[in-house]
Amino acid sequence: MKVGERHEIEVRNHEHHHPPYVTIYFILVFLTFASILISQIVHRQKAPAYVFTISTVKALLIALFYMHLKYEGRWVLAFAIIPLIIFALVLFALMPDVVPYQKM
Amino acid sequence: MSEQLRVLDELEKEEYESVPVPFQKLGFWVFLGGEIIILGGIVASAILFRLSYPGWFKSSEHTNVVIASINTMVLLTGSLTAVLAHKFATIRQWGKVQLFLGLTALCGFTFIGIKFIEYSREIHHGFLPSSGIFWMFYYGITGLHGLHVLAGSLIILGVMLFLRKKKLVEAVENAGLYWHFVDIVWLYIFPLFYLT
Repeated sequence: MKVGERHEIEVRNHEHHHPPYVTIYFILVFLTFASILISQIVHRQKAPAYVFTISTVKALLIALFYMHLKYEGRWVLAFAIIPLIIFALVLFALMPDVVPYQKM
Repeated sequence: MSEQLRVLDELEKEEYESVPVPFQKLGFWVFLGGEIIILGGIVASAILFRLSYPGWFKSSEHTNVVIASINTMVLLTGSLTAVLAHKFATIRQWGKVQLFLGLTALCGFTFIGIKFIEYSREIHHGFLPSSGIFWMFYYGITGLHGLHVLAGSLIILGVMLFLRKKKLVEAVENAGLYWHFVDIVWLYIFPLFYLT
């Protein structure tokens, strides 16, 4: 079977179980308002942890359902996850530069 | 010689068919992977700087949360219309695909228009890229992101026009993927410069 044909079948199968896009949209809107509210009521030192956690939940919702990563095979997942691993490594590698300033 | 070429063709075909994903889709994900590292790295450097620089939130108080919240809604709405365009492409309702792609591009141009209003307001108040490290990060990152939104909007418009000639579900899907990626980047830019 050719790649195009296989993908065509996958697309047709996918037709029947589309995620609830509109519901996810309203969850994203709700989470946006929640992060704005939290930034106003939580102490400034603690707010980034909550707000960036909410951003990560929103990013996951978009990646899994709008970008269809929940339904993709291992090839696409690998190409999506490998850059994230590199990104996480860079982030942790730079962490020691941040910590000394926070102790000061 | 021709036999050797035939064998090579066969091998290439086998290799091609061993990957159960269209190559253009895989190629697009490779491109997105590069974008994740470039934009992600820049945003991560700003987040780390935010954690180490105590004066960050004093500067971020001068940015406009209301305008940025409206822009967040605009981008999220664009993501919804982009994914709906893909949904209708899979069931071959091309009229609706054109409509939702048009709405997505409109969201992109609205975002850029609002961003220009925001920039002019900040410049009017004397906040320039040279006003401090916060503003340097702010203009650099939001400007780069704005260029990506512009590129995404033009890609969506391009696909819209292309669909008049050839109906390709993959083109709609890939344009939507780019849009969602730009949206995800904004989800981190928004709290970084406006909420914390």
